[in-house]
Amino acid sequence: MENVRASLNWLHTWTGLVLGALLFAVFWTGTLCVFDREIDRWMMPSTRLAYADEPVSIDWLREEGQKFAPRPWAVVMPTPRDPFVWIGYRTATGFNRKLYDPISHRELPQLDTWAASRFFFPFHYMLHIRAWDLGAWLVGLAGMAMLVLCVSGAIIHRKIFTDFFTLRRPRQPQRLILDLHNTAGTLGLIFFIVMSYSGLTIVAANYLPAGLMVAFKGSRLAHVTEAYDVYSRPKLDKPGPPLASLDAMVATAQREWGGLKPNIIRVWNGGDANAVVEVRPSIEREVMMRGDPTYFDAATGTVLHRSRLPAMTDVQQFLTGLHFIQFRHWTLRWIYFALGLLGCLLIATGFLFWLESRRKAHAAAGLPGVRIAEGFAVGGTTGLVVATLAYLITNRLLPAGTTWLGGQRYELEIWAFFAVWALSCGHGWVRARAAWVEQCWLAAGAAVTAVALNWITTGDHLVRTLARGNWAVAGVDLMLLAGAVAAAVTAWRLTRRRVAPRRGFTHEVLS
Amino acid sequence: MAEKLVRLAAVLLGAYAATSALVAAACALLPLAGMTKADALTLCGMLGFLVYLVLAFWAAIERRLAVVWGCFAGVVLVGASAVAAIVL
Repeated sequence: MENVRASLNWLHTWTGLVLGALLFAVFWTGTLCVFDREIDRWMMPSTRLAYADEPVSIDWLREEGQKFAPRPWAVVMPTPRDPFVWIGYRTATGFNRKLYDPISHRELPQLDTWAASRFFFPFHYMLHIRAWDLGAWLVGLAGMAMLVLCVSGAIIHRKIFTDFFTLRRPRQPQRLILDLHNTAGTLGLIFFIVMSYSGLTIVAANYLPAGLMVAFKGSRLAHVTEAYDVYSRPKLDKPGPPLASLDAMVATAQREWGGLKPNIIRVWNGGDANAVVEVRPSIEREVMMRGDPTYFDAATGTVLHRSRLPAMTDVQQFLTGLHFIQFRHWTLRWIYFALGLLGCLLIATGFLFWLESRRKAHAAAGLPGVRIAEGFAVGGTTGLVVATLAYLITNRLLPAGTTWLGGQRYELEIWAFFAVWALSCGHGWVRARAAWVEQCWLAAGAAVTAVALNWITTGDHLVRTLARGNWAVAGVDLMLLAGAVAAAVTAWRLTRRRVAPRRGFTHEVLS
Repeated sequence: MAEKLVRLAAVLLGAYAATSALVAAACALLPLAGMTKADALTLCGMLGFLVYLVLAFWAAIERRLAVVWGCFAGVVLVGASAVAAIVL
């Protein structure tokens, strides 16, 4: 058993060290994505509408949508978190959308930004590295590594129940860091395991292509068609009659679902004689991501097909829903957020423990290990937080329509994010231990700046957003301020350790 | 050092290859038992990660590396033969 424990310790240490920065990036962006729509409202001021919980007609969008046919286009219905109705359409190069006020039918001016749902969300599952799906594979590796870390951590940790209630404040800083690491790990263990596992299962067929090869000769389309009971029919290549009433199709579909609201209305082969309208149900009401649309003939509005998911897909969609948290439950949403932050703390304390328990030995032996790892640790944790804040600040500072060096406005925001991230890694290497303090101050200042800039550029200060019940914007502002306080307290404690060095570095960071 | 690298390869690649072989074999076998191909793949997708987790742990703690690699090679061979026998 001792041999096993030693092997697992080795596995735990090296997996954590090598993949820690990647894991933190995935955890941090995942945590942000719990409130991605709220960050969207903050970054896209023209969409800060009040949500009216009324049935929304969409027939008036037919003419606009058909301009994008025969490429598929879709109407996405308003929700409390996305209080506008929008048309999404394929372009020659990608995807774009037009937003409308669901009541006045006025088109909303759009700030050219990817905000959270188009930047942090894809970052969370593919790191924006498209070449050879490398980003997705790295995230998959991180997910698998998190499972390995959770299980090996629980096994090497002997007194899991005693230590659950233990947070010592001893003279040895490493002990406190380890206590924090253990407590965070124990408290969130189930959540971390469920999130890593469910994250992997969402795109299981991509991560285990051998199964796809055998079952469907490698065709993702064939797999999706069968697993999700997708209906389609080929284009006839002759023009069809105009689109029938979408509202009527929605009403028919709603009767089938027992009154459940619609989520997405998609038009396939628009304008063709074989055009199809797909009406998808709301995913707000249950954990399982519902994926059972009803398909209509676009010209007559008669039902062509009602999707019924196979039982196994239901199980998989339950795991997916558990991960995506698209159901409406604010208490759970906050718990996800808190546990996500706990995961970030877990990874950061893991890093710190490795660094602090080797710092003296490496310095004495002239080994570069701590020095190299510290750059990654600083850049990968506090640096990523600072980069996130730089992204928000750039969003508030760049006027609409800005372009620079051939970059669109949304690209400039993203460049700012990656530039600041790279700089903070460099800063970590140059300043080593001092970088922690400096980046904490930087994060505190940047968070307050972001709140101030939101006030200056939109007039939405906290008193106003709170009074109007605009919880999305108020919530982001409040979280930024809370984060600023936490960062400032950490920085101040870290500075104090220099005055009283005997009490030790990490004790001060974390007490 | 060399031994650690061989072990790392066993944890990362060997365990993955063995998992892939098992998933492929199950995707070929389960439809024979009446399951649809889509259900077989979805089920294997969900179980595959757990299989990989167990194999990776075993590769990390089993002291005799030759046994680890031998078993992985055997699983890949058997899995591939099963697929070949059923699908081809």
